[in-house]
Amino acid sequence: MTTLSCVIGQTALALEDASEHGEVTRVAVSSGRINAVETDDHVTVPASAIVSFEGDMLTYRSAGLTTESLSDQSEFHWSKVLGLVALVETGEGLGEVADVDLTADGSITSLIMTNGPSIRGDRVLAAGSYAVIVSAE
Amino acid sequence: MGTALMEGKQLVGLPVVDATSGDDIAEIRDVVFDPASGRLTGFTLNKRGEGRLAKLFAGRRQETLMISDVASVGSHAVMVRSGEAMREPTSGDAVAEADPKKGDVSDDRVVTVSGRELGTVIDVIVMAGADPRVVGYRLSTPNGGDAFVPMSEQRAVSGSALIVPDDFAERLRPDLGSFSVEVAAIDQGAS
Repeated sequence: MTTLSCVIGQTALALEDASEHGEVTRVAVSSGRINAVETDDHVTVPASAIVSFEGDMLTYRSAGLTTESLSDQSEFHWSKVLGLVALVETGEGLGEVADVDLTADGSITSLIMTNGPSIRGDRVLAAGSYAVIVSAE
Repeated sequence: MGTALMEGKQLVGLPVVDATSGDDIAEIRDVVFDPASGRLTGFTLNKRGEGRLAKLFAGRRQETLMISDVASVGSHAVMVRSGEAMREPTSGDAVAEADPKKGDVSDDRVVTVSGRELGTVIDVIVMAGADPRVVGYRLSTPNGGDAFVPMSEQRAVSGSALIVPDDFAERLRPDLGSFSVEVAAIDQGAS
C-alpha cells in the first residue's frame, strides 16, 4: 500500500537506462485507478508502463511512454485532490481529503479524511476543482 | 441523510456543484418558490469567488438554476446533474420571471383569520434532499422569540401577509425540532 502524497514528488526512473525524468507532479485517475502520471520534465508515463507505485522511486519501462501531456487530456488531475472537500452525491459534506490510499497498481482503496472515518475507494464517483463526489452508502 | 430541514438563509452562498465532475459552477443567491404551493421553482445565482474580497466582486449571474436540473439539495452543496444546468433567462423561465412582490414573503405579517398578528416571516424552511420543497416559515414573534408555521397551515399568502387559522395560534411550534416532527407527521398523513 502507498498513498497519493507519496507518489507525488517521486522521481521517475526509466528501467532501460536508469535515467531520471523528473518528479511526479500530476496524476490522472480513471475508473478508480491511476492511469497516468506526469513529471516536471513533461514526461507522461501511462500506468501500464509503471512497475509499481509502492517504491521509493517510480520505475517504469520506456517502451510504454506517451508524448501526450496530461494537460491535454480532459480528466482531472488527482494531484489537486488533497485538501478538497468530499461531498456525498446528495450534497452532504464529509470533510476534507487528507490523502488517498493506493495499491501497488495504483488502484484507489480509500480516501483518508482529515477528520472522521476513511471513505472506501469504490464510492468515488468524480473529482473536480471543488470536490470529490462519493456515492451515498 | 439528505432529508434534513434547512432555513433559506443556510442555502444562500452554498456552492452549486456538478455531481458528474466535482466542479463548482456557481453559488446560491436566493431561493425562488411559489408561496401558494410551496413548490421550489429554482434558484438565482452568484458567481463563485474564494475569499471575502473575491465574493464581494464576484457578483450575480444572469443564468438561473431550475429545480428540474437539481439532483439534490444538501447541507454543504446544491448538486446538479450536469455542468450545463445553468440557463440563460428566457421567456417562460419561471425563476427569472418570478414576481418578486408575490414571491418574496420576507417580512410578511402572519395573521390569523380573525386578525390576530402572530409575528413576521423571517425565513422559509426547506426540506433538503432529492425532492426539495418549502415546507414552512420561520417567524419572529412580537415577544422576540421564534416560531414555525408549516405550509399546510397557510390559508392565503401575498407579498405582505400570510393568513393562518385562528386555532393555529395555540399550536405555534417554538423550535425547529418540534416543527420537524410536525412536518414528518403531515408528510406521513399525506402519503
